[in-house]
Amino acid sequence: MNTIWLAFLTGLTSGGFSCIAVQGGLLTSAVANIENKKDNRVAVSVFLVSKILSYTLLGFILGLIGSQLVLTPKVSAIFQIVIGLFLLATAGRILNLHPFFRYFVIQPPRFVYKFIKNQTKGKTLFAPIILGALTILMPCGITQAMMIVALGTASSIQSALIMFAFILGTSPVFFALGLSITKLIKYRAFNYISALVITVFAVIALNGAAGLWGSSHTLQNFWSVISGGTNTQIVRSANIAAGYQEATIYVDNNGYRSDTTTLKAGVPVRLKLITNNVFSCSRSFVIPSFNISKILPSSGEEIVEFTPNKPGRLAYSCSMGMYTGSFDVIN
Amino acid sequence: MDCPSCAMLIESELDDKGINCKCSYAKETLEISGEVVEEVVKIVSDLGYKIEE
Repeated sequence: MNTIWLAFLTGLTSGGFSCIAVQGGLLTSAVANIENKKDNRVAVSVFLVSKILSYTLLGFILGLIGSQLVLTPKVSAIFQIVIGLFLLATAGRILNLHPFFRYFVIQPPRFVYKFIKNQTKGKTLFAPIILGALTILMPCGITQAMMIVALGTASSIQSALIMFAFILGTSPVFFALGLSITKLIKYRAFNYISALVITVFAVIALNGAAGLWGSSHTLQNFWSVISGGTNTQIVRSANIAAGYQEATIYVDNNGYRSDTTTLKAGVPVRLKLITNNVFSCSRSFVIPSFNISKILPSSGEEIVEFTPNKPGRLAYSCSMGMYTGSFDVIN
Repeated sequence: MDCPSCAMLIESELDDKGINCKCSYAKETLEISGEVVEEVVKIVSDLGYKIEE
């Protein structure tokens, strides 16, 4: 849910400015052919509604593609690393750190640009509708970054919501300020804000990758160490019944709570996962080192069985690596 | 140029004037064929960009 809010705020702050730099000219051309001022406003509204709908659909498709691409938690982690690096390169491109970063951009085909340009010559409301929908073919840098984030969610609903929130956030800038905003983007501060926002997304993606990889080097763990959380943890070993270690994880909207901290190596584990009105990505539960991946019901119980075979840290997380947890496996 | 759309805008405008060209955002270059330098400079300047030789 936080990602959706962040997407909205990104659109509202830097996304709108960036989008209007790329698409504002086409919109203005389309609207310029409509002489009545009232119709002009209607045309912009139609353009924006069409744009929001098409990007929401695009988000849905991206999430669908992402869900098909994710095979194992490790592959998903690699995917997140690629996303994180692309986002960092995008931030580097926006700041113009080096010409090399200019290659990290998704470029629409030239014929698409020509087709869109021809559409701007229409005088009816049909032109803004088509234009609004076709803007998905020429996304700005920040939109591209958001599309990559949406792809990485591997959830069509989450992905659609991210794109919806982002484009909704960009809309006030389009509607209220129009082309005059293009003067603002020449200010360096705009680039810094955009690059900062994209870097935040990159850090989220790379942190997610670390979580999915089962690494202890996640922001959550760093924070836990800094805030002294690990010092106050009580050691709770799993009960053993009928040859199985029994542990329970309570899955919340904001993460995981386990009744067990320590497991014994070589003894099979029966892990109960309990959900109660959970609608966040914590429902998509993974244990990377065992390639276990389970979509949990919003309310209910699921059992996962595995045998920890070596002592050390056994990490589990959601499929995006946002929510993490771990067991200590001992001999 | 801030993004690939800038390159396409320049290309498109020159193309409309019958000037064969290739504009690269990544390389920050504009390749043209023919003796139309002055006209190209004007069109590109009118679009808000500056050409450096």
